Amino acid sequence: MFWSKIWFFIVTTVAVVALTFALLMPRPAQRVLGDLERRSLSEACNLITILLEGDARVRLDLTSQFARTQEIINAIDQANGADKIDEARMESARTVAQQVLARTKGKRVPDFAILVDRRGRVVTRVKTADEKDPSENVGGRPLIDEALAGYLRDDLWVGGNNALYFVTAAPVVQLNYTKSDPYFGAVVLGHRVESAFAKALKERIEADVGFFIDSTTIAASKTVALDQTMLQDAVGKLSGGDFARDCSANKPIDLRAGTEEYIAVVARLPGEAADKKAFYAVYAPRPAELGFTGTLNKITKGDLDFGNFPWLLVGGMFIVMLAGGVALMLFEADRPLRRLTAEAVRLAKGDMERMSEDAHPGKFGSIARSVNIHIDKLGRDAKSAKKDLDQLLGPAPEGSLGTIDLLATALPSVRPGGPGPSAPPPPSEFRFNDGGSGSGPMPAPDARRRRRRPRTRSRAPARRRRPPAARPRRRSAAPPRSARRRRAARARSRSRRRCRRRTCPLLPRAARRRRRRRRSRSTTTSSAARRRAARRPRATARASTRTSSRCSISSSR
Amino acid sequence: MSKRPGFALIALLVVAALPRAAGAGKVTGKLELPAPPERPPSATRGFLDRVENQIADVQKPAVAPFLLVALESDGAKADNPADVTWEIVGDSFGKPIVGVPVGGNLVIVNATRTPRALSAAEDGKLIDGIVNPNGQKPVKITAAKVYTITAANAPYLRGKIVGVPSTHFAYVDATGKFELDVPDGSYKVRVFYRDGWIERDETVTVPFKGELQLKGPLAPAKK
Repeated sequence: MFWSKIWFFIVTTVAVVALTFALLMPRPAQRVLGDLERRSLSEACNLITILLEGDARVRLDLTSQFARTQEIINAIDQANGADKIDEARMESARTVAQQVLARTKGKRVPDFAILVDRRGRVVTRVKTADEKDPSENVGGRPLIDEALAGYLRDDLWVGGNNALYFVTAAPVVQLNYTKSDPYFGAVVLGHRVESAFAKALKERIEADVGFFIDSTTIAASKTVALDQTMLQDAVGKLSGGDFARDCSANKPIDLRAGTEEYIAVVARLPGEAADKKAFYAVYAPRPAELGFTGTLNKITKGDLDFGNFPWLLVGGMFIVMLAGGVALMLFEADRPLRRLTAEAVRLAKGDMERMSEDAHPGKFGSIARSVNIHIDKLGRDAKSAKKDLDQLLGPAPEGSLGTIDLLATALPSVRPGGPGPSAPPPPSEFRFNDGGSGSGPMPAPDARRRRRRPRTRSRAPARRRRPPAARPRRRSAAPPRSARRRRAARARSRSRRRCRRRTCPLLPRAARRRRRRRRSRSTTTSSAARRRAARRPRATARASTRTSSRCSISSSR
Repeated sequence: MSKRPGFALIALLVVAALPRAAGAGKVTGKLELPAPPERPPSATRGFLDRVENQIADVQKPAVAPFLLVALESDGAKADNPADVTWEIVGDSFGKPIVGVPVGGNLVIVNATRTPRALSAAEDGKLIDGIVNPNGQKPVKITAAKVYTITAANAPYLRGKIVGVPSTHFAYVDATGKFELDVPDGSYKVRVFYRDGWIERDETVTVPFKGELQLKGPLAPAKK
């Protein structure tokens, strides 16, 4: 029974562990999914940087082509010769620039253009908010100064109303110019950053993009009110001069936009716009947490295919657990119980006087012992009752069986209330476990006694086999002291024997184990042989004489 | 008639003697310009690094606008020096450095359409308030110090005010030439370049004939 209980515990533990895993597994999976999402977002941010650099190259090529147009060179050259750039000159230059812009091919048509002469004066403006304003000097801005010096470069400007522009500048250089200074001026083309541009970027990276100046959204592929405080905090943590490394340098942050949750990566925008705290953010909705039931809902038929699910392992485990449970139940409960039942039947039939305690393990052995104790008690009670009767009635006459015979003859043949049914003797093929309903009445007590007696005699010593008439009459008077002593000695030795076996709790554990082993070795031997073996003096039994006496006392109680 | 030629002669002599009585002379010279420095990295890089154009060589940064030559005499003091005008054009000053005689006024003129909030890094009280578009801001220079002027709303606007302990100073042109009108006397030649005064040994005595040649490295003065 011990292993059955352990098995139950093991199965329960395995089930609990499996359930814990089932409830727990979605969480790490969710975490891994979130990490993957964050990583992909960082990569998308890096991709945005690359795309913006590529866009800058396209715009730079466009500006360079614009600056090499002869009409533009002529317009600026004429302005260089004038002391003051008046409105008429600006207007004529504007017309030229508009014509050139109209011829611009490709998707990146500039949103504005500025022509600058050698001294940094504005020759004309096209499509700017202040295009009608008088000329001014725009020297000093790094983009224009470096373009006037001969460099092609790009920058980011913040215009009025927080408009963000990607600007590129190129020097206006005259080819084959014979004079000392071939530089005539510079042109600046600007592209406004708008939501259409952000949407175009989104199509490339499959994540939303937003451009911001401080806490103002300039353009975004998706109109969501992102938590600007968290965005500003993330931008504030960025440091270093290399803005292109921002995407890799900072970790994605969790954001809220109303009820929606997002993951975002921020990166600063370079150029003059950096002074205005311009940045862009790549963001995507945070993967929803599925949990246990959500994970179950996401299971598809394909997940349960043999290729995707270890059915063999699960089935094998089930069979092993089931077989283990059945085997343990069989060996520890079913078979011992059957053995006990069979023995109890034999006892009831009278095939045996006592139950063999050693043949039954554990609780079954306890049952057998309890039954034996009760049998002993009944025997003692019967003896004391007989003794009392003997004292009352006197010794039995010669040739009689004593009190038992008297009791047998004294019993009325007719039951109170009328004559009882005539009870025929039981058939020879009678079995104790035959049902009483169809097999006739129970045999009379004297008949039972008669049937039991030969079996008892078979186990009794040869002295008992003598016919009752030849037996000396001992019951006529009080039994002699030697007989009483013998009986007491037999009872003591029986108790001692019982205590020598493993069931005595007072014996040392090693001794009990040794006896159990010895007994298991001699299971095939007959009970008589075992009894003989038990009678043999043993060192361990002698050593535990005191313990045995205690045991006998406790068992007699 | 006999007196008329005499009178005319006297008058001619007086006229001829007048400048000499004032003791003024012109000093012309040529400063050997240092090699132009490499163009510093761009203050504002965009998505890409700047690229040189393929048609012509890139222009070197100008050196001359950062040079100032002054003649100092020990005992001479500037009396009522004239105001000096300094113009803001675009996102820069008309001259990167401006010399102002100690005790003189500098008038900063904002020629842009944007108000400029100027300040001096060395003296917070030197310039007070904002210079409005087409407005002026007079600044009194009381010490022979160098002030770095910046604007809060224009990160690339940057210039230096040089307090010159003399009224005799001049800027050099692109070739390094300069010209000064100074009274007669002995003067020590001082050169200011970019961030500070250059230690030089030359002296000039006016009247001075010929062209003052200032050669040698423009090492900063030892303090």
